[in-house]
Amino acid sequence: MIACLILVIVGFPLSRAVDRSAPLLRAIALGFLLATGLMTIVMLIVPWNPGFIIIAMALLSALSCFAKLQFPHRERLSPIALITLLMLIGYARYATSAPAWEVDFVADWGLKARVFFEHGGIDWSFLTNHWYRWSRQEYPPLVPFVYDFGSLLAGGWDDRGPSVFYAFVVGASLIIVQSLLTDEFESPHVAALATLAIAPLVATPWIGIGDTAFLAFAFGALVLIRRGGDSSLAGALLLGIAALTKNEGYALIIATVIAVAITRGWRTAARLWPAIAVALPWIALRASHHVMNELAAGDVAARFAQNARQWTEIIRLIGAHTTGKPLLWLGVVLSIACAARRWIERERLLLLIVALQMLAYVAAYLITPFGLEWHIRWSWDRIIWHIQLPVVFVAIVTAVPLALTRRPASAEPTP
Amino acid sequence: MRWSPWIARLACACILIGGFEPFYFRMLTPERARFGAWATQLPYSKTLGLRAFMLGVRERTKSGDKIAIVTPYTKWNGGYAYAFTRSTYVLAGRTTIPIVGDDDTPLSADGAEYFACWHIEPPPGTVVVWRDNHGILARTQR
Repeated sequence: MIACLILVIVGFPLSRAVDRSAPLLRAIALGFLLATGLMTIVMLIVPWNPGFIIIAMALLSALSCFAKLQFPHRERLSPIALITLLMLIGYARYATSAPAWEVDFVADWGLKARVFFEHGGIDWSFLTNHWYRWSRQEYPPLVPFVYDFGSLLAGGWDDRGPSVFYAFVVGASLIIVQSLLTDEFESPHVAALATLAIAPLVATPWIGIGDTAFLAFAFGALVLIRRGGDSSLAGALLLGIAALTKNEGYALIIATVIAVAITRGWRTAARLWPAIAVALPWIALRASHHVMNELAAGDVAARFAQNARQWTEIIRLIGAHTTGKPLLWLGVVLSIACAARRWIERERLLLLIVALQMLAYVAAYLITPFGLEWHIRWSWDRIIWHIQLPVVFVAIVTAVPLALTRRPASAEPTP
Repeated sequence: MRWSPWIARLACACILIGGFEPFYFRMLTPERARFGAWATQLPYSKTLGLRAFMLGVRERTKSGDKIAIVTPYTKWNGGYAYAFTRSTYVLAGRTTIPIVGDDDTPLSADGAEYFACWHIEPPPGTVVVWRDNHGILARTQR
């Protein structure tokens, strides 16, 4: 909790410098997300002493004070947001109800966090030891570092308390969405209701692993980039931080740059360069220690040729492992039915990003060295969450204006 | 066109109700304690006593020690990986040495200083350091 509050404080000046139009709560939320990325980059560089890390973050954050910062205005809030807040408190209690229990925490994210904590920094001998290659040694470090930062402040390894980060990161993403929707719908009540609908899709059940944090950063990034203008820089930075969270973030950067170039032009796409700048340090450090992505290792072309021949099997496995919420998807279908033109005219950007990201996921299956059955079985259910969030968001922002339409007043003058 | 607003309202209702997650609200009740107890043992549920045994091993070894993880399982995906990954987490800071490869080939544990033997006897040429109901920690003879 203290670690998260430090991130909130350190991040506030950053967010003011990055997005000056953001109202108070959005600035705080954006600051927390930016500070988490800053913490990750700082921990790649400075010795692992809590004092050093906090001072380095504070100094870097203080640099942003050279920009003329003004205190933000307060946004309008709706009492409906209290229901989302209550859900988030429940989510925080869920996340911290036990030491992180996911298998992938014990075998991957949490294992690396604990090994780094014991080592007092990144243990490259662990990350390059082939005995431990099942621990996904090349994965980005943000989530392990969150547990390490929390444990450093606590003075001992803790695999339970730092999980409160998940409630903070989900909450921050939802605050950004609610703030942007308040501007878009011009009603804090409608925005709060829409955010309440989206909240369970960001708050995934997976505690201790990368997906929830990735979704929160990526979704925050996409809605800010969709808004454009002053928010683009903040969106680009969050996009880079998403790549520090999961490898899917690198694909998302490429997908977003292409989609922005197609829908808004190359000059606008070029302004997303901060995403690449934020994502680059981990890739460079990883490459310097010869820790490679397993998808790119070995004879990729041979695996592609072999797996491509099994395309019917890929479809069968995807079908077999598709789970979801039928009523939610019925809502999406109804939104398309009533607002198809809005989907295409107004939301091309997000839909294009989703389509390109899906292509990247399928491409990963085509070159997987892990075997199709295993890879699809253990990833597809989580990938659905990556896709469903922006799709449901589009369904909501296209349906809500139509739902709020009232019967037009009669043209006939009343006697 | 006349129906569009109503379909849009129905779409919003479906999304709101269909995505609703009551479980997180239940975490505000005493149900959280029951869930927490269940979740705590979940990652180790298929290996009775492994976590407690490895915590005992951790107490009796120091950072940097090389510990071979010995179990009755002889196949990587037939139980060995399950026990080895969880043991490695509990023993983080020590170097855990597998005795089964991910292609099921037996591996030598030549560099091991300790043998953490869960539900199996330690190999010859070692001395018992500590035992509990589920395993034996043995050390190579110097």
